[in-house]
Amino acid sequence: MRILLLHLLLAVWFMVLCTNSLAQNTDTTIYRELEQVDVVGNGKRARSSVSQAFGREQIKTVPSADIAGVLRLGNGLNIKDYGGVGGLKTVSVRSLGASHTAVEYDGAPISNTQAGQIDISRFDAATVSEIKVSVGQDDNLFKPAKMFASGAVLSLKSHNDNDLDNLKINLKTGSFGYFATDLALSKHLSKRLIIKADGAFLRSDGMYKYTLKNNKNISEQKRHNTDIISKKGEINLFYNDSNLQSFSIKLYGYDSRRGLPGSVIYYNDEANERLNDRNYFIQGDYKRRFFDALTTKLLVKYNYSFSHYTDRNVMYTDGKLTQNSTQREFFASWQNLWQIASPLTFSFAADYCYNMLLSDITDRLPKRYTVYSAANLRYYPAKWTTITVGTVHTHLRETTDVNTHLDDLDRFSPYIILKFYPTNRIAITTLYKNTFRVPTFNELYYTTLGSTNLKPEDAHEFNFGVSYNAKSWNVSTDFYRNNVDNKIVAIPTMYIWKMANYGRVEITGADVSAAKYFTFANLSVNLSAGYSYQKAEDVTDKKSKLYGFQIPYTPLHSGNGWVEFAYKNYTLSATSVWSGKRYFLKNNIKDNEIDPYAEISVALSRQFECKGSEFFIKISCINITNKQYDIIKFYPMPGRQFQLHISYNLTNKFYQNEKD
Amino acid sequence: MKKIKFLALSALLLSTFTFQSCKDDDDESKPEEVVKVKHIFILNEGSQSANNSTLDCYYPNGENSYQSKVYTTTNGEGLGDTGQDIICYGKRVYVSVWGSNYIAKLDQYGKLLEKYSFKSDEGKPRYLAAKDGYVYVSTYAGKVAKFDTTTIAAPIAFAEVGNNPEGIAVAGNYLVVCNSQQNMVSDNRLSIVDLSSFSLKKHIESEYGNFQQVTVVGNNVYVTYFTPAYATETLSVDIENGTIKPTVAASKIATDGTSLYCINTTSPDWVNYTTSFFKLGSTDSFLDLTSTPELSSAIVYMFEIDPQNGDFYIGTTDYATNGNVYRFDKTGKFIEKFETSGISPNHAAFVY
Repeated sequence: MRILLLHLLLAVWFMVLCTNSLAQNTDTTIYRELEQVDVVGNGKRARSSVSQAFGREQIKTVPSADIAGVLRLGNGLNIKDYGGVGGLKTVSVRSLGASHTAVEYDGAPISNTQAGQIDISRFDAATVSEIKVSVGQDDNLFKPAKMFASGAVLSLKSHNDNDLDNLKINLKTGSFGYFATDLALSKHLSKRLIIKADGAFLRSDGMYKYTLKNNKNISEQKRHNTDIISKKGEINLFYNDSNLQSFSIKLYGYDSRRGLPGSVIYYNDEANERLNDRNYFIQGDYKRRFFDALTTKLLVKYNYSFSHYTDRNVMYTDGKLTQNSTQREFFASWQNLWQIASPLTFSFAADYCYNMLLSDITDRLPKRYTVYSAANLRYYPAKWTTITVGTVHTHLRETTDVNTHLDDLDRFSPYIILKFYPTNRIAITTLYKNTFRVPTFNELYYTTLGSTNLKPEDAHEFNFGVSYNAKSWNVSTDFYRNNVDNKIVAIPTMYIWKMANYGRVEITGADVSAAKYFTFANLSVNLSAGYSYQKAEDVTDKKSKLYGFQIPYTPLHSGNGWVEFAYKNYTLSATSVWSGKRYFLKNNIKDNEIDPYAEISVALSRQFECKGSEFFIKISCINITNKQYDIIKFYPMPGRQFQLHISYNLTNKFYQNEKD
Repeated sequence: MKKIKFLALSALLLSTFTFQSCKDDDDESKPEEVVKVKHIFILNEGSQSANNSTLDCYYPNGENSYQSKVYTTTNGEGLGDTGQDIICYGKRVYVSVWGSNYIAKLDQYGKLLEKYSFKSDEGKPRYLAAKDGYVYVSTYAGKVAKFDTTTIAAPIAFAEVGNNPEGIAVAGNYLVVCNSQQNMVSDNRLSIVDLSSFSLKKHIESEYGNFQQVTVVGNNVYVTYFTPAYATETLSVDIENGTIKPTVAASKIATDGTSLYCINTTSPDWVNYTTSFFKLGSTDSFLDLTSTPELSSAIVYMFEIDPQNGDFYIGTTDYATNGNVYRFDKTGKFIEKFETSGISPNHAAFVY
């Protein structure tokens, strides 16, 4: 089947090469296609939860300094945050589960085949220029096939293509021993070649206070073993030959050392878990336009990650438990976008992916070989509609040093997106997508816990959304239904936990968001609010007491609000996120409830120029009401905290004189 | 005289149970037959790292209705994380709480009297046993801690045993200690601790390992262990000769003082379960399940026998919702069923 598909793709490719007669005046369309991004400038922030983006200007002025904090202002998202700078942060879209969210960084997938979900805490909001979350995938058809294979995609962009030569320094400091800095340099080596280098350092003690409520016994406690030190470095080279061809190379290195405070346990605050992480990757891509209608891109990435986990307790041999894990990934992707005719765009991509794990958590040596092939077609029959259909085929083979491993997998994940524009102010989006997630190495091979009999976890997504865009205000509503089947869960046995495909969840939801923009003399005001309703029912077993219960960590009601006042160079930004009650265990009883909360944060920032340099200063107060709350039960979130962010940008104008 | 006789009987019988029973000394003047269990504490383990272990109180003679979360209501704070074991000894109730890392001494009504939190080199507490005014606790430091019941403010001694000991029981002048596993490697030794010197007498080496629970019936010692595939089997142990031989497949064992009762819960997929109830040496069910057919497919997590009247208390779990306890009389006739206040009821203490 795979061979057939590949042949088909190759045939199409050659067909394309031989039909340069088709190349017509399609520049505008194809580049609209390439650059079609939903980021809207200040003033229009109602986001359809099908695809929501945060641009650099928004990220900059928002009080929160981390990406998870920014994403909590999104709609229909469930950000799990274990609290503190070093606490795990993951993104689940519309209750599919974080493992269904593919993460892409500067066009290439970031993956963790061992754990499945990606911890986004390592990405600093100050060095990210765009954050985007899409259900299914975003409008861009020109991307690796793998990025079409997930239920949702989180895309992060580190740089902005418009960046000119500059030198930028960010300094951030705040409560709980938080200090972060980064230095970014961007320079034209020649007219077409740019180098960008970025180095970042972060530290935090954590050790924040929290209120522990143990029935009638209420006490002030402090988190400990929460320290983190991380270092990041990146070097990018970009070459751009006036839209004909371009290439880029990225070198990335990350190193972190942190304590894991663990969950709060009554009467016992011992916490000795440590985690050191190292991640290096190199990626390069080459893009070229053939004729006017065809663009092709080759992307290659090699990723190495290493984690070293230790725990100290007298119950372990010699009082210590050590788990080292090394993962290697090789990824290659060939992407093509072909403007067949002006209303018709075709794209296809083929990826090859190799993953391996060498770890103390298993005595197996798993290796996974995956070929993703994606074909997509977008048709604009008229001004009022767009039809996008596509499928990605996953061909997966796994080996281990013994003969038990994940079964061979060959599957299609189809999708269809219909968009209607009855007037130029109304957009209607309907979407269906069927995807699955492959069991992770941990789920398959973790000693005693893992099970090699696992099947993929299936997800079906349906969406119907309407948005209305007036000049100064807009509203967007999405209704959706997701089914997750064959859920991969750990089930307790008499003594140990064991991974199994057991569970079905039906999610019915609605996201509403609205935004208004107006000016009043020199003051411009942005208001936006979002509300999400999510009924995520456990429908695993009709006979079970749990049938129809809301799954853990999913609020029925949640929302956010965001107000921004801009006056001259000053911006005052206030955000609030709130959530209704949730359950932290499967049983929907009072004992298992997590209290509702609302967190309010404010930030005042000022941007000014001084002697050719640009300064940006932001003072934030996060959780201004000092609300004590948990996102993950017994992982209390920090109370009120202050942060100062100073950014110095030696601007283009000044720097540019040296150019050429 | 009566008292001496009773104590002698206690030494012979009571110490052989996996639980220990409380004898109220006030009862000494009364005839022995009248001594009845007044109430039963049911310990709910909860789920790990959720601080939701609770203690309930059940009145078998119907003097009072079922009291949920009696520890919480009496003391204003929760038991904490993962209540592991409970026994009644003397006039007091002793609870070990694994996640929260302490043992507590309670009065007969669940009021907290004293607490001891283990130091990090002493290991977290697991199972309890008592004899001659001392309470013993196995800890995950390869130790058994000894406490004087007059005060548990500090342990008075530690005995070194094997790796991560689980169940312990008094057999004559010995303490039989089940060693489990460490860093996923099974310990193949049973430790025998001499109670007079409170030191390790010997290890009984065997081809089995990862021992879990121990029950003493007269002169016979039975232990359960996990096979490498995590099935539970029962072994019989000859302490004097240091031999261990396989007996029967059973996941929970308990005794009324004369026989060994076994419950075996198995599952091919950990979704569907089959449970059988039999007496050692027989295949017939010791329970009449006609009115509670669900028990034959339930996960049995608690198995206790009333030391006075032989009633069976069988607690079930689904690891998610509150557990159920089924009570049968000694002939196997169903008496009643009640829901506990927490997940996974695991042990009971009989107070009288």
